[in-house]
Amino acid sequence: MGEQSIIHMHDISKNYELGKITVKALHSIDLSIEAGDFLVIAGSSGSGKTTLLNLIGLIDTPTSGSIYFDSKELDGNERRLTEYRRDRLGYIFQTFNLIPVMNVYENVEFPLILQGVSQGQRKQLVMDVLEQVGLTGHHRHKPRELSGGQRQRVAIARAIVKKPDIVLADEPTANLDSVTGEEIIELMEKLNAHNGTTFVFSSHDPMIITRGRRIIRLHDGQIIREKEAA
Amino acid sequence: MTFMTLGYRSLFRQKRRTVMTLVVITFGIGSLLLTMGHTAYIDWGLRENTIHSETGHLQLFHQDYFDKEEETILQYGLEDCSDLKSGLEQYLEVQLVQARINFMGLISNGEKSVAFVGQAVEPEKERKLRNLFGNSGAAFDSLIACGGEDAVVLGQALARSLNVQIGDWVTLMTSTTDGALNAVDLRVVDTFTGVSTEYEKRAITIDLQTAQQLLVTDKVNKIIVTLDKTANTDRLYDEISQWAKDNSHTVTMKKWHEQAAYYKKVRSFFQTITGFLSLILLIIVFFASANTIVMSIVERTREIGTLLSLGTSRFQTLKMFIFEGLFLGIIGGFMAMAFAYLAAMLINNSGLMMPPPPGNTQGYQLMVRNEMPIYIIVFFATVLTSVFSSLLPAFRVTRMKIVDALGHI
Ligand SMILES: Nc1ncnc2c1ncn2[C@@H]1O[C@H](COP(=O)(O)OP(=O)(O)OP(=O)(O)O)[C@@H](O)[C@H]1O
Ligand SMILES: [Mg+2]
Repeated sequence: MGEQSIIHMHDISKNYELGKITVKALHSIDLSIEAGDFLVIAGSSGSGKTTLLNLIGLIDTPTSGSIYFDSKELDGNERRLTEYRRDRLGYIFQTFNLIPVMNVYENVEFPLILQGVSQGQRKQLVMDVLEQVGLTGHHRHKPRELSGGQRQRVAIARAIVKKPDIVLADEPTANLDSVTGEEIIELMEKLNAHNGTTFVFSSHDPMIITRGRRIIRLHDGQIIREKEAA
Repeated sequence: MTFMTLGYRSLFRQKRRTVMTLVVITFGIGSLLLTMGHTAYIDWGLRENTIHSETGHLQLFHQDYFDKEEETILQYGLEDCSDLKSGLEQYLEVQLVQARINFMGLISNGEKSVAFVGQAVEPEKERKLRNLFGNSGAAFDSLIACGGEDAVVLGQALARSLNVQIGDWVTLMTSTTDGALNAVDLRVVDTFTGVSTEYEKRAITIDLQTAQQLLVTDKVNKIIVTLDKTANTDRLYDEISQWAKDNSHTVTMKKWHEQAAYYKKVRSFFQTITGFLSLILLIIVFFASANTIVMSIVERTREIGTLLSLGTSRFQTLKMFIFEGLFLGIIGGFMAMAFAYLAAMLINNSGLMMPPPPGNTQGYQLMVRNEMPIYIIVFFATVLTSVFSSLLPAFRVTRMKIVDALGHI
């Protein structure tokens, strides 16, 4: 482990200071994420799933420990972090977080604009990915005109359109009914199988957790079990 | 989908609130424009009135007039004016050339004597000077009618204080250019009201030739040159200075504003008021737009977190807010200009009268002058105010940690 991993975390801990109390949200975390992973972070509420995903997704910084991206240790260089977020990582949020003033097409197109992709290429890529998530014909809709499941599909399309190394999803199904949640996981599985997209997502829903090919179980901020599915 | 479009669309996300802010900007900045337009009107009116009744555009004096103290009246007056006058009249831009004498003395009705401040003029030219700016100059009609001979026009308050009527005779006493005393009997042909009662209590006007006879001289104090346009003052000043030097006229020249103390005083009085009002209005607009922008930024904190997590740089996010403030300012600025323009038209046609300013005897019509430079300056001030009011909250929110922004409800 380490050499071919996209991300490697070593002896990570994360504390939150709440006045005089220190909350140890994560400690002694060692974790590698390999290309093609379909990894679930499981654990009860407050176990540290979100905190861990935020650290992997480079939108939060650990209190101690080291994170290696492409075997290079990350420092606090904000510009490099922004580049990683823009080019290497995709995010799917529990609450979808689409930009309300943009329509479906524009939401999905946005990461490509940040990357400076040409307009012609953008159109091709966006239409392709909208087809993959089953939203062909919806590209002119505004987010508020869509159902929860459709919104999460847009969010998935937005995350994968730039072909990131890792797609991170914090409880992507928690705001959806079980059938729709199931469909979202199926879509992620399909994308993982066909395109080799790496997914790291969290859940406390046993039905969803069993779908992971790698399952990491957190308890009180520690990895208590790691299981590789057959 | 650039950050400009994003900023523009974000502006109209909360339509009601944005419209309310635009209304505040429209009325606030619109009132500012009207206030400044009104001051511009007063300034313009006062300036042109001063020029076309007192100062002309340029004034020529004997070269020692300002440097040396006269021991006798007109010691440093201008001699042989006719050459000078006809030379000045050659200029295309010159509308009018006229001479004046200022003198002082005692005026008596036979029983009571009071000090006067006299102005000797060429009545027809004085009337024409006022006509150039559309004023009647009727105060000089009676002097013109009697050819100026043996005639005097008194300030109304002075006539009252001497208890004389039109047609009565008064005596002027003054010292002549060589220091002797001289007197002349003149018939009161008219009275006039002046800008202030203080002035009216002392002022008299007579014909230039009558004054020269009284003072036993052919000199004058100054020659007044009036141009076609005030904007030509500086250029003609230079040209005439050169011409005077080349033709060895030993004169010194003043521009109108150097001789317009009253104008300057009133102008600064109005400017103080306008400045104060402008400041208040700008502060109102600043807080109104700052309030909208702060609210719209705070409620979008999570969205900003999302943008940042997608790899948007903090600078790009800031740019979006700057565009938002920019559009708010531009739209508000245009609405304010349209409002002010229409309101100005209404006001100018309404015939509303304003009370006289302090020290004055006459009120004036409420008018607003729509001046391009004012509109341009105020428009840019509005846009800047709007952009600045968005900068601070935008800075704060784009510097938040991404997780904190995302966790914001
Ligand atoms: N911003 C914060 N400030 C203080 N404490 C925090 C903060 N965020 C998380 N914590 C604490 O850190 C611990 C881990 O939180 P985290 O949100 O990672 O758990 P989680 O597994 O995602 O929970 P859930 O299933 O409820 O989303 C919890 O004890 C939580 O109270
Ligand atoms: Mg969580």
